[in-house]
Amino acid sequence: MVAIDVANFTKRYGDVTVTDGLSFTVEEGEVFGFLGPNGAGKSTTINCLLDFSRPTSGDLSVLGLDARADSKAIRQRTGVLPEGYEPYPRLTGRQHIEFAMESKDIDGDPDVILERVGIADAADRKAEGYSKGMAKRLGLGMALVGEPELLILDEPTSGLDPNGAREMRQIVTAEHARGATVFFSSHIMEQVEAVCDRVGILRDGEMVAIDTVAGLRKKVGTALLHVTVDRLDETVVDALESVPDVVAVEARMREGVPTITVETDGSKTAVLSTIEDTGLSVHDFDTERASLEDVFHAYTTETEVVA
Amino acid sequence: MSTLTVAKKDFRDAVRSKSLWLLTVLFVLFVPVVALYTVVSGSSVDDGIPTALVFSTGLVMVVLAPVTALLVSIKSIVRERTLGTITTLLSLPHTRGEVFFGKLLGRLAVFTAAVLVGYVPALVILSLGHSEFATFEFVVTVVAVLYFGFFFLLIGLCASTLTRSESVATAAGFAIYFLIYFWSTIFSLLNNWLGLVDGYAETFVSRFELTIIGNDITTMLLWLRGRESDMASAAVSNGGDVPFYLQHWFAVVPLLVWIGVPLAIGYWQFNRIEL
Repeated sequence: MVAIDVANFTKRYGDVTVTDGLSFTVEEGEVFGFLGPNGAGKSTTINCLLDFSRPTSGDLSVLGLDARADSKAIRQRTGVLPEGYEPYPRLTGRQHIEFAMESKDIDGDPDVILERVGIADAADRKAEGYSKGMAKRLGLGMALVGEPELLILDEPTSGLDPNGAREMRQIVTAEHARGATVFFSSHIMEQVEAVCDRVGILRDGEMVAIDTVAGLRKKVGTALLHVTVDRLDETVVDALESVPDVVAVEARMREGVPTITVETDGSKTAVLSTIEDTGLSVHDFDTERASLEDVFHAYTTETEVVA
Repeated sequence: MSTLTVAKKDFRDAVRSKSLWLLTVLFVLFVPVVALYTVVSGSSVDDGIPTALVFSTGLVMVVLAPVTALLVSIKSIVRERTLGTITTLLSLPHTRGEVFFGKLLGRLAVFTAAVLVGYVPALVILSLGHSEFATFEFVVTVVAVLYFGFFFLLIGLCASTLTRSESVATAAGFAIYFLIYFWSTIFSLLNNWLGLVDGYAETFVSRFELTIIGNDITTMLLWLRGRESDMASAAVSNGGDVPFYLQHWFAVVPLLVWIGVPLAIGYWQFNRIEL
């Protein structure tokens, strides 16, 4: 079963195209990390999945239901931490959880939830006095009400200290173990590494990579080749990008030396001979293992020549 | 069910507003305090309600009730958008319509509570203090105050769906207040200048003025008790040789227009906005 199905999703605001024909699916029972730099279109996608915004075109469905027509039924079965979650300043933490319980028609003890997200001692305080981290925890608490089948969390760790971020990941892991599907967005790779079954990387509204964490780890194993050359030009970048198995190319001055950095799953020899074929002479080269953060960086920044 | 849940949350939230408390204090000063004064000073009671209270209720109806109604409604939706709580609300299983009508009910309840905090103690004070006190007329007055406020509240809620800016909403609140009060003046000025309508049609347009609708409704309430009243508006004719739209029963139409149009616009707009 598919928990989230996005097909040919396009969203424009006036002249600005945020996503253009975006398609991907999230399987039931998996933890899916929706990654990308700020402004890539993550929240826009999530907002359309929840009917906060409406797609310009495309089909979005959640739990097999139409995101627009069946939005209420979707939200009955989904726990949501929306983008930039804000609590009601004049209501207490407990009143927020009670409101979520009443809204979902669920009997339960609000204090159990507040305990779980670590703000039980602030249960009777008005939310206007909450720190950013506490508000985030309250938002997560509201999302956890009623053991939803699906959790949609938009940037759950932003605004949290490292400790809070770790607790957030523990809760995600526990919810996954219970059988929930978790779909969350982040602009920080390391947040997702430990908890995600699969990761989708969004750049400028396009899914540039979608893979298991193991698949991405395989790419970590790929060589990152630093080649120092006599000069830089555009043609070498184009030539390298058309070499099979080359993932990313970056050509720029490093410490005053013209350097081409190539990330490849294939042979180093092919890379070196391609460089020489364009008329550049190779002075030296070394290899380096890329971290997950480097992979993310490679996918989310433009390759460019800084000569 | 969802509508009531939202209404309850909204009531809980809105009654904690400091500016609402301030206006509620004014209700208490204008109504029970004045009522107590009439009892203590032994003022005369004509037509069942002490004169001083008739005056203070006039002030409540013209100023305090509309201002309170606008205050509780004009920012009710735009504020959720500027604070960002609207997505908190819509992350839970409520349709846009349920949120809109839940807000309407919640804010109506807040407004009614503020009015009743003034009028219920006054009712007790007056019925104990004046033997000639006419309870029914007094209740009719309270209903009229509520009725007046409801229009402003509806229009305020509708306006609140139409803007993203709180300051625009505040300005709209003032504009609505003056437009509604000077509706007949503005209309007659325009009409004299442009010569739009006259005769029956002009009388018909005047029936949309809130005070006239209010008078008609009051008349209707009194008529239900089997009493004649001298408060009937000039536009109303019981039978007689006038077109149907000038007859008494037609007062229901302007009333429904005033209720229906803001509701329809607000509901439509709230359904289509992107958060």
